[in-house]
Amino acid sequence: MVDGTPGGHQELLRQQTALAQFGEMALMSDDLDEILTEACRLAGEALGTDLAKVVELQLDGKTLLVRAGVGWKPGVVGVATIMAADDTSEGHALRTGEPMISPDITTETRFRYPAFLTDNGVKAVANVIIIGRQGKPPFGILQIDSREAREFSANDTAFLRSYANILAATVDRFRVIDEVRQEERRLPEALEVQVADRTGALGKSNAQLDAFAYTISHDLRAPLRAMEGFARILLDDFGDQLGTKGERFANRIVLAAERMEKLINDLLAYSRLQRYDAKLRVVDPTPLALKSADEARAEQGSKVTIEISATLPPVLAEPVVLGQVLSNLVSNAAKFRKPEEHGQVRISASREGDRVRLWVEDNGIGIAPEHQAGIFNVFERLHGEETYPGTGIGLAIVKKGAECMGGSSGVESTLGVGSRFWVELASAANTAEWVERQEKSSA
Amino acid sequence: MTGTSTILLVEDNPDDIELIEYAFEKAGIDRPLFVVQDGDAAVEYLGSSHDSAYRLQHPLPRLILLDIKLPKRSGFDVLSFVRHQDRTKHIPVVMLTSSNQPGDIKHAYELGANSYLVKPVRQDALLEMVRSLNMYWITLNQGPYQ
Repeated sequence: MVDGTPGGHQELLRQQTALAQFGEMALMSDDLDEILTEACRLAGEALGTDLAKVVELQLDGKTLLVRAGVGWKPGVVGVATIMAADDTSEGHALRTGEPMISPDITTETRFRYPAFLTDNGVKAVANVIIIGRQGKPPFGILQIDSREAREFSANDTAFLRSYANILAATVDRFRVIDEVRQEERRLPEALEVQVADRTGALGKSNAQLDAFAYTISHDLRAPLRAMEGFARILLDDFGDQLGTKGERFANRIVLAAERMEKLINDLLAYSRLQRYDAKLRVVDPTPLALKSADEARAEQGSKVTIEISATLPPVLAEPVVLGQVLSNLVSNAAKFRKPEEHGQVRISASREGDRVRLWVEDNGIGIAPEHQAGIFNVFERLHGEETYPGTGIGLAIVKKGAECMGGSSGVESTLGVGSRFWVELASAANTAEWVERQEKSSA
Repeated sequence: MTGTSTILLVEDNPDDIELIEYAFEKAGIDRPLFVVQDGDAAVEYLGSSHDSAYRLQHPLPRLILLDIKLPKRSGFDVLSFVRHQDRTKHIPVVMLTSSNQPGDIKHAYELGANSYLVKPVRQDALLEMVRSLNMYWITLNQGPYQ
């Protein structure tokens, strides 16, 4: 049933489609188990079998746990283990790093095989290693199982190797994300301990976080550049060989890579705010509002009108952070339009005692009451990527940004009518610096 | 005279190597591009303990493209080595890295880098960058060796 000749055209096409589909899915999903399961399904399908699994090397360095799989009876996935010993094909694969093929385990004499394979009617197995980060042990093994004895051609193993490498990159991406999350959880505790000896220790912690953010942006970007770069080369220089479908898939890789790039940038901006020690000064919000309006117009074109009220009073803020906050609010206001309706956005201000509220108001789709608190959380999204693209970090940056400038933020909204987002900051109208500036400009 | 107009690329990421090589090819730059994949190998390539037969095969480059994060010895260490060796101290060094950290940029210039470029995410931007690099540092720039 397997065409082992190099000209197995259908087979190659099926394998390439599986690679493209998996690459795309791996970028979109944020659930590692889902990705691993889907990886098994697609790889199995590409090789004409409905049985496959990913076994993960445990901390002891010799136990392999069946982490994900398709086609297995209950009691295998998440439960069954295999020892990576000298007399198992898994141990051999891990030690040599080479793909290991067992065409028929019932007549096999080289290795012994776990009982659950026979229980599930497995005859043939192909092992290909999922490498770990440089200097780290492998993540585990991708295993393609078959209920019939069979050979795997050179094409098959080459396919499995590239497939397992994408899988390795994906697993690595999750490790990095885990580290970010752990670091974020650790941070508050770390700060608490340091209260007694604040100055020196805080400086050190910031330096560590700088190094950490650097690693994240460097290491997450490197594979991204490769994805974008190679997919772009395929499109530009091999377009005629790709066919319409291939071209579409390559395009989707490029788009997914661009999305991820934006996500990394937003995450970095957000993580910087987590520990931002804002040096507040007198800021005139008007130029920042004008700039964010320009950006939003560039994104949305003629589908939106943005108006800025003549007098935005001065506030105590940090210009870069306030610029980012306003830019996110205005960009959202312009983006979440009702379909087929012209967008109206208005930036204005109101004064409450010694506080100033900057308002960004729209006639867009509005937000239901039950969602109004949640939208300021990281990764909180109410809409699909197709309708309203975004990273789910914009409003989290608004909230954190306002807080680190000693202010607050919020929203008033009616579903189907529009939203009014606000940030509240200390007024700077009575500060000596502002009074002096006014005197100078009127003189 | 530093041989032909060889370029030395010091880069450990195989994806980046291939993308950069491809960009050179696409830009129609047919100068030899030598690649070394870690800091020690770069120092070995540029070092002075070689006979003339080795130099014939591995000419001193007209331009060094240098990553910062490298195995064994960092790009900063390589840069410092290049600047402290008589035979290499005038070779233009362009940092080509994914770090845009102000600290790294400052440090690179302090150690004597001639230019600092951040690897672009987009392939067409990389192509543009490679074209300009070739135009400026190889074609236009007057080095001390001519």
